[in-house]
Amino acid sequence: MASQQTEGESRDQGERATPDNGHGADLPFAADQGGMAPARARVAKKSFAAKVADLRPSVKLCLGVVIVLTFATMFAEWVAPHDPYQPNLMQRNRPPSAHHLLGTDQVGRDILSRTIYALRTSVGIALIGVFCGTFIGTTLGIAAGLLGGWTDRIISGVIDFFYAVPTILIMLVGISVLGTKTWVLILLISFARWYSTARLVRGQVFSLRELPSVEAAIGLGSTRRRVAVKHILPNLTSIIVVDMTLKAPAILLLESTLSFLGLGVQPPLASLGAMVGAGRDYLISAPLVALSPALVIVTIFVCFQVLGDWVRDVSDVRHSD
Amino acid sequence: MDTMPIMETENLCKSFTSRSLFYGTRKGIVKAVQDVSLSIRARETLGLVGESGSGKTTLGRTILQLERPTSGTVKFKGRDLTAMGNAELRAVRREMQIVYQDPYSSLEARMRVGDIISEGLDIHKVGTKKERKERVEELLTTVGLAPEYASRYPHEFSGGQRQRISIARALALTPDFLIADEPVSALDISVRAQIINLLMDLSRDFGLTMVFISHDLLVVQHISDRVMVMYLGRVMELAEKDALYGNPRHPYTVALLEAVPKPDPTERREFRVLQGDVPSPVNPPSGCVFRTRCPLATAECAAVVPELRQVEPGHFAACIRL
Amino acid sequence: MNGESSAGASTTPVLEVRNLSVKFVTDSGTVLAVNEACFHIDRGETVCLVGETGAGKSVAAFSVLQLLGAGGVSRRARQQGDIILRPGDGREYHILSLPEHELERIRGRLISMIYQEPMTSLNPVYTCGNQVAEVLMHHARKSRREAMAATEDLLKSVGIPDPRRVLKSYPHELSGGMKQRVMIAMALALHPVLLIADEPTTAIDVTIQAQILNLFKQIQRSSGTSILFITHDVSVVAQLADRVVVMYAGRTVETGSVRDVFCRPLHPYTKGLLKSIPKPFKVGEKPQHLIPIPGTIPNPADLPSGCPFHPRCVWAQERCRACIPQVTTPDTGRAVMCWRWEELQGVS
Repeated sequence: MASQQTEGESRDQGERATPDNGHGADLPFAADQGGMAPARARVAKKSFAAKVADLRPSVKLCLGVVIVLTFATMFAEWVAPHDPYQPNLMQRNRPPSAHHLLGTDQVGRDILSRTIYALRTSVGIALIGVFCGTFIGTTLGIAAGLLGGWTDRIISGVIDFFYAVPTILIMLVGISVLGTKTWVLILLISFARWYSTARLVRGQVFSLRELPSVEAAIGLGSTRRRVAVKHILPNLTSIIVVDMTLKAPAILLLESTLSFLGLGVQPPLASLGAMVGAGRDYLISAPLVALSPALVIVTIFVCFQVLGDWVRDVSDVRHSD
Repeated sequence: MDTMPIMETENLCKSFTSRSLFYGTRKGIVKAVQDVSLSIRARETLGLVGESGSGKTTLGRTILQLERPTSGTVKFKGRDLTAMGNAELRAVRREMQIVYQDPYSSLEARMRVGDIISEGLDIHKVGTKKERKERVEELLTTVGLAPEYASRYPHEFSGGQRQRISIARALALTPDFLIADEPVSALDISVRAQIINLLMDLSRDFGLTMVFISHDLLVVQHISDRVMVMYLGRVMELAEKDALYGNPRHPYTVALLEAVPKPDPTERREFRVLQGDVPSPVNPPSGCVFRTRCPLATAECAAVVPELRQVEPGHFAACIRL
Repeated sequence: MNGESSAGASTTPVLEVRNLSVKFVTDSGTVLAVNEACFHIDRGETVCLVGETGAGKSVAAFSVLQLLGAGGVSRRARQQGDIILRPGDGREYHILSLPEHELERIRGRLISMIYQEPMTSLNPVYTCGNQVAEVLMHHARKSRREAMAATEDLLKSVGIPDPRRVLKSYPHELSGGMKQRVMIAMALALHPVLLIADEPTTAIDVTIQAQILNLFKQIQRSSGTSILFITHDVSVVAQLADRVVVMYAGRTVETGSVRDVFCRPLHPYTKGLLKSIPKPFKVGEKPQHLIPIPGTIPNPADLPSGCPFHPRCVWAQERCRACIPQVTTPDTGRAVMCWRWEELQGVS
């Protein structure tokens, strides 16, 4: 069967949806053009359940723990057996019993309930800190990376300053100036670690802005603001997510430390760190007062670390294709 | 034929300061483009050739103000682009576009093909959503792709198809001026002809003025009306295609044409080569930048920067020995 | 089936590749990089292996030296077929079945290789002199002083104008063309019988490429080394090759002398390729229209059935989709893999 394509019409050969040479278009890209066809379109996707089953055991364990704890904090009112704020001086420092699964603390409050509420407070504050810090860091990082010049120099200088000064010191100065109210704590925690995000984002923006795809947007007449939102930001999401998961344990620990020192969340509000601090005096007589919140801190910390590493590994794989 | 220049540059210079890799403190100045004055006629295709370090890509980007010139002016349709502020420049960008070399990094991976092509329309608020969708489909068909591709992502396409998408994006705002920066160098050989033909047909059908940047002399010979040869940031020769390839006057052009291997096994010979290597654009030679490798160089060549003179009607060369 | 009949060949070939197949087992499937490739190289001859992305030319060449990743042969690679090296002393080496220590004796000494990227192929922390001399000291057991003296001669023979300076220079101090010459010097140090050049001129400027091509012509004339030159640049092939092997999707689709392949191509892919490249034309001549090959190069992980070129072939028929064409040898050293080659002779 002779070909129906004429040799002289070179563009038509490129344009026809199906080549008229007798067999159907089994070309994956019917209008054919270009270099090698990518294979990705053909590989079958694994089901979600299969992907979950593929995870490392440590990741699965941590995911499980995080899910359980999230459930507990979200539904604390129903999960906690007792009122965490209700003192009962008749039941001070009791060991674990059927009524109080983890015993009672120094003023008779149920440790289990208090731990659950404290978890909510601590994790809540930590998450606010993570999100606010990321927001500040991302905005400043993009500003420094895109605008360059003096903006970059000033922001970089501030970043360097924050890196040089220990975070605790900044927190202490802030608390001594502003007091120990909860909003102060949240405000200060928000400023913890913003600078690591900023530096990370700034570096990434520098390499992103050299990409032809970004320059093409400018070439089309886009404003810098639009470029930042539509081209830079979407390409930053994966590193920002990884950064957040890696920051979370540090911020959690920061809050716990401050509360432990008595400078963070104030009683009667429960915080894991505060509980540990208060239980210091009873380590021998009623160890669970301090131990249970401490164990929860350690558990969450480890879980965040493991999950953070996993998110980073997954992102790297995605980037390499 | 329209002979009013659509794009003119005058003494255009672009330098970059770079930190030496060695100790980080020493600064070198890369003189990527030095003193280029040219005028491009409407609807012509100007081929811009040179090797690495010639400054051809930088010249293209500087003309479009994607890099702001260090000195000199660029006039587009009589208006001075170098003096424009950002807002004014953004409006003018509708009329001048660029197609990049790398089909993989020039398309935003997270955007659908339809959004990529219509981005220009979105930026300049052209048309309703429906009109834009139709325009995208029209453009896809013009470049030889199926209209259904608008909903796919770039990674689903091969290199040649991506270049077509890039071209569609560039055409969306119906520009008059297009810079094609090595558009086929990253593509496979059997695919290059598709894109070359496409660009030729589009520039004819839409009356585009095109600057075709390439290091491949045979492709440039095929597609251009006039050709400009650059070396280390300066223009060596500028002429109509037939004049340049048939009767090259500048010693660099002669050497360049000599060096190109011809795909004909019956015509084999030893290549007549230029000695030495391309000097670094950080420290270009004084006087004529080509003198370190030029077979005709004299002492005077080090003292004087040759200007681009007309050696025959319409044929310009920058060499004092001619 | 051996596509190259050695009956009638006057000398036994230095390298014979028979039905070589190389596949890689990856997470997303098996990638067939080279599929029943057949070609040979005679003594002193330059054979150009030409093809585009995914043709398998580099993999085939690396297979000759058994350098398929991981510093040797990757665990994921599966090879079949035969690669026979006959250095001329009567011995025959079947490369695919040689143990590693034997391969080490062949690499650099009997077969050596130069690479595409001169930037990354030389070790940045050793001087060039050191790197070339090391080859001589290791394989030829020369003393350091002898090796350095021989290196200086070698560098001069590859056209380096100031060998003393280059001896003491580090790679980053040299230009791309110079580095390429150093690599060639290193490869020729032990007078190998076969030099494999993997796209050595792709990453360099055209005026420097001309210098390197002249160097190759000089090597062709003066030493008896056979050269396997891999490239996608058809013009370079025209200038250097004695014979040409055209590869597509892992298969050797056409083989022949350079004049035969360029002037009387038999395979539709070769014909299409030659029609789609711009050729220089004389002033005043009408410019020829470039005629592209429609379609896309197939992915080695997902090859079409039957003839791998059929989706893009303007002359394809049902038979082409159904079965892989046989290799026919119309003449000594001439082979083509196409059902319709005979009727399409002369048709372009």
